Amino acid sequence: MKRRSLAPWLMLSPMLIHMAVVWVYPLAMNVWISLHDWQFLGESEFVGAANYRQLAGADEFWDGIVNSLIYTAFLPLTLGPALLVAFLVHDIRAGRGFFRSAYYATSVISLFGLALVFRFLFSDQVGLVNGYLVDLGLEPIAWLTDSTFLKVVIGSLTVYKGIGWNMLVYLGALQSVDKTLMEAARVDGAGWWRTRISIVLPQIRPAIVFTTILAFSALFQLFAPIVLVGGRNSFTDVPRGIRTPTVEAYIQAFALRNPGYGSAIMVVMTVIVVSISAFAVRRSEEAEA
Amino acid sequence: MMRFVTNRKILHYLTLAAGLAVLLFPIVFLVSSSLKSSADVFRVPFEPIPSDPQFGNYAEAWDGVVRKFLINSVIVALITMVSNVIFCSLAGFALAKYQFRGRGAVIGFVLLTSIVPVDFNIIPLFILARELGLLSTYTGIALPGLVFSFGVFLMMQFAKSIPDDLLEAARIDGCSEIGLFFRIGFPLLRPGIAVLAIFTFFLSWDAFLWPAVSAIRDERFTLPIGLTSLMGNRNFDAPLLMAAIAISLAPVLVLFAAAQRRIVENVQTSGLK
Repeated sequence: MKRRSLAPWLMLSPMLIHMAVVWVYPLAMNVWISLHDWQFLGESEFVGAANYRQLAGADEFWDGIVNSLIYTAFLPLTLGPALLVAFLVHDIRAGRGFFRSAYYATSVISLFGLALVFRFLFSDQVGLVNGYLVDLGLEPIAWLTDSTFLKVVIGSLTVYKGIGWNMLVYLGALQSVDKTLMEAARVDGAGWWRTRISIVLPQIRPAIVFTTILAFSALFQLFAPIVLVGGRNSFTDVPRGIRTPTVEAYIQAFALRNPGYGSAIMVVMTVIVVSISAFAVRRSEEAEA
Repeated sequence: MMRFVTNRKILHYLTLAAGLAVLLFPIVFLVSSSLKSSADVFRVPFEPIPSDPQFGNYAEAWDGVVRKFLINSVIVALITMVSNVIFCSLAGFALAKYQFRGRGAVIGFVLLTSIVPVDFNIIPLFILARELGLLSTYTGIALPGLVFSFGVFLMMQFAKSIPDDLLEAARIDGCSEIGLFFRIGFPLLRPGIAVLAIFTFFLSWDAFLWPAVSAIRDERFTLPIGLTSLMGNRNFDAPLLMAAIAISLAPVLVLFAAAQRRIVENVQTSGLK
């Protein structure tokens, strides 16, 4: 019996060791580093809460939070089309498998490759998008230099990556929707949209909540797409107007050699993300109950 | 009535086809541009099928940079796949098939790690990897992705369907607990393992931030780092870079095409990402 109670821990140990090395230790170290004027080489000086005080007063940090919230505006632009495509694919018979796989395939394409393609498409000087704008007699747009338009390009990239996967989750949920109810609504004269909104949506609510939580947290802590699309001569050369706090932390640590301040930002972001997730999970559980 | 229904269906197909066309455009643009000369590549109006395809771009991109970065990406992806397949299966099997004190706490812990992205931990991880001499090594680049929490949950779901009677019978025959995993658990987890292997390959292939921080010497650059650093390089013009990108996207799409039915079903039922 003793042997058996030890066995699961033995099987879990590689995972637990990995979690200790790449999660527990770094989370604790982030806090520790954030309390220092940390030097990658040489002596680090303990500075208490100084990095947090600097952070609270820094415009870059608050601008970063605002940017994070702006990126979350792309959430409905991802989930809306995904839901529409799911409705349509669910409705058809011939070609259902094809459309399902083809749409999902666009979600699987590697982010870095897509990001580079977007940079070519939206290039200020030579890009195809500006080429057509000029062709139509319009002014070219500074897609990759103006921070507002840069955010549009970055947001479009996240929309592109998100549609297929979310559609698939919705399709999975649609399989369990009560067909007789839909039929009844149709007989009663409800149109296609009406049936979808009044009958189907309430039934796939858990999937909507699930995808909304995930998409919100992914957009709020957006990182790689910003660096991939917005980075210029190096990965740390990202215009201030599009940075999120985590991008700011990355630049502070690895370009400005100020890891103490960078870690302080990471600690604050970790607390925010964990709180939001805990809140979201509790709210959705309450709603289910 | 019938006529209305058919019109509705035609509208369905048209909308679906139009949406797909929009989503596929960047890929069409990529492939077609990769076959053009640098003089033609950004010409408007866009020519989907190049009049004078430059297949030599692919050979040049391959020899120039892709081979070097691709080898790195493949090695890191293989390390990630093998590690996840073994360790996620072990953990998933333990969590699904044993009742023990602390089981709930472990599950909660794994859930927590899936909420905090590894991006938040790059500063301490960088310091740690440097101390251990892991910067610019394959192990170091693969380190954060060696055990994905989603993989543990995925394998736990699959392991639940392994019949307890089978395990009990093997125990009576004198099989050790670890033997149970390797002789019964692992073979029965095979369908899940295929999905897990493919998804961890995708994730590793696309990993950007940690490789950008930890691969400081360019002989260890993976594709995302290597190709992104070539943007704006005057010696490496747009069509060559597009060819390089096209090559680097191919393994993922080939894997997806080969296993799409299984992948699609799993995402639908488990919300795998």
